[in-house]
Amino acid sequence: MYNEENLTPAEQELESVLGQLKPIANTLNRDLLMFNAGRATAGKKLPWQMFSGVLIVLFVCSVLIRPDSNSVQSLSSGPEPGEFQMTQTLYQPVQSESRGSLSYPMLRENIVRYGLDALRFQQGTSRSEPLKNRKQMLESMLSS
Amino acid sequence: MAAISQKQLAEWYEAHGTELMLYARQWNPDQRAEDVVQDAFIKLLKQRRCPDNVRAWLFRVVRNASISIVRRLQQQRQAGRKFLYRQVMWFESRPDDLIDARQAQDILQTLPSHLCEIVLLRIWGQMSLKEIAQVMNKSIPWIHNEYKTALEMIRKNLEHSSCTTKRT
Repeated sequence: MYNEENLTPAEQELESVLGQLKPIANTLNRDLLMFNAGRATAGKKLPWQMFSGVLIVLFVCSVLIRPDSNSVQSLSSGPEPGEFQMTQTLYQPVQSESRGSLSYPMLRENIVRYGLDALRFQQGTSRSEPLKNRKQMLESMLSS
Repeated sequence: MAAISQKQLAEWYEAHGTELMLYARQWNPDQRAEDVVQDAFIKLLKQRRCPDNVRAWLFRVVRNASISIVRRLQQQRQAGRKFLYRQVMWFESRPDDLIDARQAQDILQTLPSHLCEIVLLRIWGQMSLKEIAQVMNKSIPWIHNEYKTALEMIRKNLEHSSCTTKRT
């Protein structure tokens, strides 16, 4: 430990004489200091306040501006299965295994899907032929 | 340790504000001393945990800020700008003082800056040599030697000025 009192009597006397001098009273306003200190610490919290404010605004917007339930359903569900299959297979009907002939299950499936119009999409048939083929097919179906 | 409340800050300001102002005036001879001290207290309030030695911490912050300002002003002065300062009294002038306040201030201002700083910290800051060493980032023996040197210079200056007064 260093001896702090290692001063001569003359130095100690000078120390005491100087110590009698009183510094000028603090001119800094205490209230102003406390105000500035409070403002400085409040400014430190500003980013948190902004962040929480943005979160609240987003939450309110999400509650108020909700999409209609029907539109949500239409967005999520997509097209009806029948429609989709119709558009998908309108120009590509189920093909028969062999040209000119159509097995009963496939013919039935096409009719169930597309109705009687499916008979028009048989390969190798012209616009005038479906009636003939349809008749023949009905006869063949009834005979089988 | 917990964060600092405004009540604690007010207490420390009451206890150390005047000493800190005196300490700051050696570098900042005008309104800037108040700004430096105020910034030190605001900085203290912003601390997440209270410093172990608040008084030494405050003096060190005032010291660092003041030295930064002095360096910046020196650079500006080298760039050609001139500054006019209003001379501020450091001590109250009272008739019963054994030494004249103005004379003491003049003598202190003629000392090398580090000696003046040590004297201010030791006598009016009432800091131990260890605390002064912490503030100035020096060893205790060095502080002690410099303090004795400063006292010796003050004594010689006082004797010189009293001789001059007697002659006139």
